[in-house]
Parts: sequence; C-alpha cells; structure tokens
Amino acid sequence: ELLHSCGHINPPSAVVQCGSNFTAVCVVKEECMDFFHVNANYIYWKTSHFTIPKEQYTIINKTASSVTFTNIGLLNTHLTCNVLTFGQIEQNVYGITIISGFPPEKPKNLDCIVDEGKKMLCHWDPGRETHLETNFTLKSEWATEKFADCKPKHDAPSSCVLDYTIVYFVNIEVWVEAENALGKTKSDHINFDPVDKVKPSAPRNLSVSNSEELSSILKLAWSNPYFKTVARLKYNIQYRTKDASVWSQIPCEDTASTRSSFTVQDLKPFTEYVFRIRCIKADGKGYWSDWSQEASGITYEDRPSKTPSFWYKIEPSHVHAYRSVLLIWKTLPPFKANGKILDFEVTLTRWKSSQLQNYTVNDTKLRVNLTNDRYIATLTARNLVGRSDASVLTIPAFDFQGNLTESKCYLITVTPVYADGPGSSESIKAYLKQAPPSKGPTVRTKKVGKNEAVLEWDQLPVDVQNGFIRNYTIFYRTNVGNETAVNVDSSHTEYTLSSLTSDTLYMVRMAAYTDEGGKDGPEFTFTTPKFAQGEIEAIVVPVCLAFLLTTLLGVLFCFNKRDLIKKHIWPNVPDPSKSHIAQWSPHTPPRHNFSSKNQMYSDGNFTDVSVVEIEANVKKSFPDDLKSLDLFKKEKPSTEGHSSGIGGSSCMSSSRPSISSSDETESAQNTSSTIQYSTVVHSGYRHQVPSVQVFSRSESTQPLLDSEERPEDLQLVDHNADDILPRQQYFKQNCSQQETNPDISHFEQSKQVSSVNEEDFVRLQQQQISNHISQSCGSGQMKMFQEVSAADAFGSGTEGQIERFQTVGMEAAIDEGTPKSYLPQTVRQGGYMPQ
Amino acid sequence: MRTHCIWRTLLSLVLGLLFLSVAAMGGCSGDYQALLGQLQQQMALMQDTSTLLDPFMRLEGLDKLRFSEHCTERPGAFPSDNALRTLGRRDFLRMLSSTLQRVLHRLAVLQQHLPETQDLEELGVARWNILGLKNNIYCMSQLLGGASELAPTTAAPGTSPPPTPAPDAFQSKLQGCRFLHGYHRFLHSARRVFSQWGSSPSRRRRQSPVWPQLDLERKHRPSRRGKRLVFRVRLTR
Repeated sequence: ELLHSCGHINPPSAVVQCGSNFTAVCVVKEECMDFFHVNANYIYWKTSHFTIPKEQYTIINKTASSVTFTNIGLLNTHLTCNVLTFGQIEQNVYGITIISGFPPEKPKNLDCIVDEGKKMLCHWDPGRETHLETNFTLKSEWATEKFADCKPKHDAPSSCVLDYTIVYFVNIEVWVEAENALGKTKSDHINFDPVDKVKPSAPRNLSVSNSEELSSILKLAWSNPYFKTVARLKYNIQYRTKDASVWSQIPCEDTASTRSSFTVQDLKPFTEYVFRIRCIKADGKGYWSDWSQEASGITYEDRPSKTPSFWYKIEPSHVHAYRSVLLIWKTLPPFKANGKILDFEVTLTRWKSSQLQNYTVNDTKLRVNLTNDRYIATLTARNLVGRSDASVLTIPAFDFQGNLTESKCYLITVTPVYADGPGSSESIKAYLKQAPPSKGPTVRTKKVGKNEAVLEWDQLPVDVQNGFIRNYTIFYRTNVGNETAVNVDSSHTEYTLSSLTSDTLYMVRMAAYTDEGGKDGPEFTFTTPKFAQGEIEAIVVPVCLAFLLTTLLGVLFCFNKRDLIKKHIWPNVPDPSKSHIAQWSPHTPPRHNFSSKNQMYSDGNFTDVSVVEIEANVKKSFPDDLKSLDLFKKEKPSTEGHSSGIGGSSCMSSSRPSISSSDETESAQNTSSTIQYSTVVHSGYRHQVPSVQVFSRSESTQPLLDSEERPEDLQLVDHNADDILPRQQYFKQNCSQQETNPDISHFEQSKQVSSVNEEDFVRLQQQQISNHISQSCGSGQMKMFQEVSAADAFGSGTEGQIERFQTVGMEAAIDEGTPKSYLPQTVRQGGYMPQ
Repeated sequence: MRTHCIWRTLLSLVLGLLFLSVAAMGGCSGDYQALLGQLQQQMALMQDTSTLLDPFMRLEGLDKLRFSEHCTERPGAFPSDNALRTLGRRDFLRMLSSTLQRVLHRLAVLQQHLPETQDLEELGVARWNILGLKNNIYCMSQLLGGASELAPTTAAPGTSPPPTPAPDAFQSKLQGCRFLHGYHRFLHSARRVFSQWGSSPSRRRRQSPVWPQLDLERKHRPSRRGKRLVFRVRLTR
C-alpha cells in the first residue's frame, strides 16, 4: 500500500514498435521523498532483475526521473522504478510492462477456394511476425449484400472459412483487414466468381472393363461430381501397370471435355493396369480435384507374339533303327504369351516325306521315338485367342558322323542345352587340314600415277583358299630391273606401290599364303605415265599467260603512241566532204551581198573551197537531160554526204573530173564545157600555208546559179567560152544543210533570204529562158537553187506572187519550145517536181 | 437566395446518390458479356427442378408421377413467356427483380409451413441463389443505367399477393408445389429472354415502350404454349 501510493510511471503500459525509442518517467510523491529522505537522484530503474545504467537516466526535477531506451529490440519485460531508501534499502515504487513488436503488414496473396460441398475457405499471407496480438478479419460482400465478418481461428490465423452458402455465378468481393496495438491495415480487394475457385469433388465409382474385340484397350467409366451440373469439366487420367510405380497420363487434349467414360488404347494384351482420375473446371480456372480411388483392369488376351524356345536331346535307344528324341521348350513369359497358354502343338515331319506326326502337349517337353532319318520339328503355343508362330527345329539324321575332308572350311556351332532349354550358341571356322590355295589372287591397278600405283584384288573364294589366308605377297618389276616383293596383311584388298619410275612398264603379280604355302596369281602389267596429273597444265598455262601479257603490253604501247605512229605511217588526209566554200579569190572583190549568215564568218575561218566541174552539154536533147536527172536522183542517196576532197567532186558528180581552183584561169580553160566548183583551202595540206586567202564560206554544197554571179564573173566566163554555153560557176552554199532538209518549203527558204533586188529577178528570168541548167546537188540542191532564185526575186513577197512568178517562168520555157534546161519547174502550187 | 439553397440541396442529393451508387458497385462486374453469361448460367442452374421442386415434393410426400398433373403452375402467378419477351431490357429486369422478391417471400412462407423437424436444405440454397440472381440483375441494371429503380428489398407493387394458405394441409402442399413449378418455368422463360440479348449493352434487340407503361389487367389470357398459363400482372411506372 505504501509503495503503491509512493509514485507512478508514465506511461502506465507500453506497446512499443521495434526500432523506436521509448522513454518512461517515474514520479515519486513528495511525502514519500520526505519520509525516506530521498530525491529523484535516488531513483533507479530495473528491467526484470537488471539495473539499467544511470547513463540512460534523466533527472527531470526533484521528484521525477526518466529512463530512455533507444532502438528497442524485441522485448516483453517489466520495467520498475525503484528508490534506495535510507541510502541502502531498495524499495520498488512502481512497475509497468513493456512489449515491443511491429504493426501488421498488408496481407498478401489473398485467395479463396471452394471445396465442392463445403464452405469457401480464404487464405492469405499475413506478412512478418508482429510479436503482438494481431486480429485478422475477412470481409466479403456482393454489390447488394454485405456478409458477416469472418474471424480466423487461433490455430489458423491466416485463413478463414466463410459461413454462408456460396452462390456460383455471382461476383463476390473479398479482402482482409489486420489490426494490432501498433496499427491497422487491409489487403487488396479481390473480386471473383466463386465458380472459378472451385475444387470439385473427385470423380467417383471409377471402373475398368476390357474388350474382347481389342486386346489393347480398356474402358473406364466413372461418376462425375455434382459440380458437373454447374460447369463443364476436364480430366486427368493416369495409368500404370500393376507392378510399375510411374504413372503415365492420357494426353490432356483427349480429356478436355465433360465425359463419364474413356477408352484407353495402346495397352499391352493380357496386362493388368491401374487407373486414377481427377477433374477441374474445363477452362482451367479453379483447382484440380483430388485423385479418385484407383481402379484396375486387365486387357483381353491376344495370340502369343513370340515362338517358344525349342530344342532336342537324342537319347540312346535299344530299338534298332530308332532313336529316342526328347523335345523340350520354354514356357512363354507373360508379355509374349499375351494370355494364358492352354497347350503346345508339336509337329514332326520326316525329311523328304509328307508324313506328319502331331502332338498336343500341356507340358514343356515331349519324348518321341524317331527313325534315323532327318526330321523337321515345329512347335506352336496356343492361348484363348490363337496360336503363336511356329518354332522350327531340324533333327539331323542319325548317321551324321562327318565325312570331313581336308582343306575344306567347316563352320562348327556349339549350342549349350540347359535344363530349361538351349542357351546362346557360338560358332567357329575350322579346317581338318590346311593346304596352299589352289588359285592365286588376281591383281589389277586401281589408279596409276607417275611414281605410284594403287593395286587392288578380291578376296579368294572359300573354295580355293584351302586354309586360312595368312598374308599376300606382291611381286613387281620392270623389264630390266630386279623383282621386288612386298608382304601385305590378309585383311587388305588393296596396296599402293610407291617410288615407281615414270614412263616405265611394270609387271606385277600376287601370291596368297596359308599356313601350308602359297600360290601365285596371274601377272599384270601397267605403264606409269610420263607426266603426273596436272604437270602439263602447270607448264602450258604460265607460258600462255606470259604470251598474252606481252601482247597486251604491245597493244598498250601502240595505243599510247598512236599519234606518233600515225604521223609516220598513215598521215591524216583531209576529208573533202567536210570542205567549205569560201569566196572565190582574194583578189576578187565580193560580188554577192550574201546573207548576214555568210558575213558572220571571218576570213580566217574559211577552210576548203573546191572546184567541181560539171559538164553541161547544151546540145543534148531535153529528154536526155531529164533522164540523166532521173538517174542522178536515183543515185542521190548513195552519193549524198560523200565527197572526193581535192580533185574530187563535192556532194555529187563524182564521175566528173574536178580541178583545183587555185588557178582560176587554168580552171576556166579546162572547163570550157563544164561548170566548175571551187574550194579555197585555208589550212592547207599537212600544215602548209595556203597561198590564197579566203574571204567567205558557205556550208552548202549547193551549186550556185550562174545568174547569181556578178556580171563580172559572167563576163569572165563568157570570155573563156565563146559560142558554147558559158561555163557556169556556182558557189556551193549550205549544201549539206540543204541535203539534210530537203523538204523545207521554198517559201520558207525564200523568206530566209532577205537581200534581193530587182536585178536578181531579172537575171533569174533570163537564166530560165536560156535553159542553162546547172545541177550539182541533186533534186534537193536543185530545189535550193530555185528557191534561192525565187527568194531573190521576190524577197518578202506574198505566196501568190511567188506562184505567179513560177508559172510565168514555166510558161516562158514552154513557149520557147526548147527544153534547154532541166531546171526544176513548178507543177503545182507549193512544190516542185523535177522535169 | 432561397433558390440557391434549393439548388445546393438538390446538387448534394444527386452527388450523394451517385456516390452511393458507385459504392454499391463494389462487387459488380463491369463486363457486360461476363455478366450476361453469369445470368444465363444462374438461370440454367436454377430452372432445373431438381434444385427445388423435386426435393420439395419428396419432402412433402408428393409422388412426382402421380401428382404431376395437379402440380402445375397457377395461372397468373408468374409472367408468361410471351409477356417477358415483349418487355424492354430495363423493364424486363425490373419485372424479374420484383418477381424474384416475391418468390423470396413465398419461400419464407413455405419454410414456415414445413414441419419443424424437417429442414429442406435446398430451400436455403434456393434463397441464396435468388439473392445472387437479384444481385446480378442489379448489376446488369447498373450497366444499362437504371439500377436505382431496383430496390432489392421491396416487392414490385401491383403484383398479386401470395395466395392465402389453404386450411387443408394437403392443399397447402399442392399450392407450394404449383408455386415452385411456376417458379422454375418462370426462370426458364427468363433465361430464354436473356439468351436473346445482344452482345452490347447499348443495343436493344426488342423494346416495347407500350407494354410496361400500361396498367396491365389481363385476365385469363391464354398462353401460347398450353393455354393454361394465365397471369395477372399490374405494372406501374
């Protein structure tokens, strides 16, 4: 009573979280202090029976002292506050209990299971141990209903059985709440349909039955649990033979639907199997049921799959010409018998006779008296379903003593006979006496090289071996050399001779040896080649390559030095077809007012001007001229674009002689009856400076009309040719261009020529009347010629004017009645036709 | 100011109802197809007479073969197959919920009339199943947007009251038998209606806006199936 009233501790009780700090304060009443003559310094703390060090004390005031615990571990102890009365007597003032622990962790892995026919059980992982009294509450609800809380039992604090009837196909929400002195928490809510959490009852009444039709099947039947009416099921079916411990399982895809029977196939006949089955909801949600009770069944019999082992014993007999033979066999093991063996059937057939002796035996042996002849014995086993295949045994004739001959190979087989039948036999080859082979091996070449040859041979037939072949010897020699011998093991059938000489004839033979001697085979000859394979190629190929390389280098050299070579061997010859017409001569003033196009060429640009002479036989009749024109026209395609260069004609008239125009006078003299074309060469031949300066150039090969020439030229021509028609000289102008554009209308062409005057017109008219025909560039050139004339005549006149002019020109010619010219005439408006 | 207060009150009420509605959705599946499947499977399970009628007849000593002719549905006790099919979805759910509520009441009465020594376990299971069915109907109504109209605890007004227990014990057994027969038939019809619902909650296969709005007072309306089922239904909206 005194102590009780002397003081107290704050807090009066404590549940402390592990790892935290805790402070307790002891307050002693003042009257006690006075009575015992003590103060707060006399207070000391104890846990159970241990005094707490004073370092943990704190004197708060005269009557109060505190003690502090840091980082409290697990404890469950009493803490007392004491005073030392009168300096030496311990007095307990007050005491409390301290318990440490943890707040509950959030429950995890909450799940539920509905055992069919029972209530739903939910379980969870409570988390770490709290060391405190922790209460778990399982809560559940529908959307429209809250169910009573479920309190776990003390022996199973992490699971609880819900007390109400579980309704399938209604989602339920479940969670767990955990609470202790240090806190409260709850798990995640789980929402599920209880039908997905069902563990069905195990299938019941499993039975097994076999089929007489098929010995490899067994039929299972069972009763499904009630859950089958709620949801579809699937199954696991396992089986094993009676003596086995490992279960085999039927493929799951074969048992994935609700059923109450199943036929297991591929079983062994007449074998006892044990079965068990379990089920689950067909979609795999929920839990597998427990295994059903095991049930066993035996497959039906099948005919024996193997023949029995069969042997005989010949026993001495006292009856003449007969012998006693004991036939014995083994019983079949169950996996071969495939059923219960009912009996055995033995059939004996004498050699080369149709006489049969049949015996049906239940035992595994049969004793018969046989003659000394050879017999064939057969044995079959029979069960309920059928018979096995027959075992066949030959019983030799009695007089088989052996007429063994020497040097003949015999196969001796020994079979042990045990009490329950024969064992495995062993065989060996043997000779009564060996002899040398009666024939030697025949050797041949498999492959012959420059210095080697591969020989091959066949094994000797057994009939000629006369003993065990121990080894072979190969003899080989050249024509002149010594014979060399090589020993080869008898197991080989080929050998390689090496270090042979090339291009040499070899003779080889072979001998086979038994223990008693050998025998040579026939001789074989072969010749080694002079060159090894690929040797010739190794020589020829590099030589060819070297030759090719040299040739290539030569070609490259010539290519690089082609200018030099060309200069000395075949220098450049100017191509007349690329010639150009310039103004006639340097000392002749310009007579034409050529178009600006012509004027744009500087003097220095003039290149080649050639003179082409065309004979113009004025006395020729007009039709002939037309013919020649036609002929020319036909030749035009082949002559266009070709030129003869110096001394040749340009554009056409290649058959006509042409003369260089370097000397105008001479030209005039030589061409008294021809029309001459001239070329002024600027660059000269082979870098020679031309003596004549060039003034203008025309790109055309079209001969120009005489009438286009200036009067001075005409006079010059007239001067050189008196009575005959004056030689007409025409400058080729735009010949090639004209050829390539033969269809350009003359109206367009006429527009191109702008500088015309009345005098030109008058001259053209005069020329047409005079029937002087000039033609050098074919019809196209002729056209050009006429076009130029017309253009010169009309300038920029209208079409009508041009047409009228053309018509007038033609009429003038007809009126004259003298077709003196093959000048193209207009036949219709807008075109020309050669006349 | 006064108007403002009224608006605030109304707003609070609406928000409160919304909150309650959401809170009540805790156990509902939001998957229409899954919910529809659950409803169909529930009804397939409950329409089976072995779940209730057969055990009841066994318990009451009514031979199934002998009394099958007498143990037939009382006309008007449950909506006919045709009547259910002509309803719109929400009206159908409302009808279903109210009828099931009535069945619950009647099952309670049946339980009271059973001898004290005999307890029909199937009766208790059936009650739970009906409650579960009503829960799913409620959830379906939520999905269709009309759950507030389904009060799980109140019977639909206008439905015919449970028949007065006959003074005769045998007659009482027969009445119970006939009621349960109608109950199974009704579930069968309702399942057929559910089976015709489309795959989307927004799609209405069949909507009859007229029928539920009328006060139906159909008497002795012959059934298409056997001209025996006559119902008397009164619906108000």
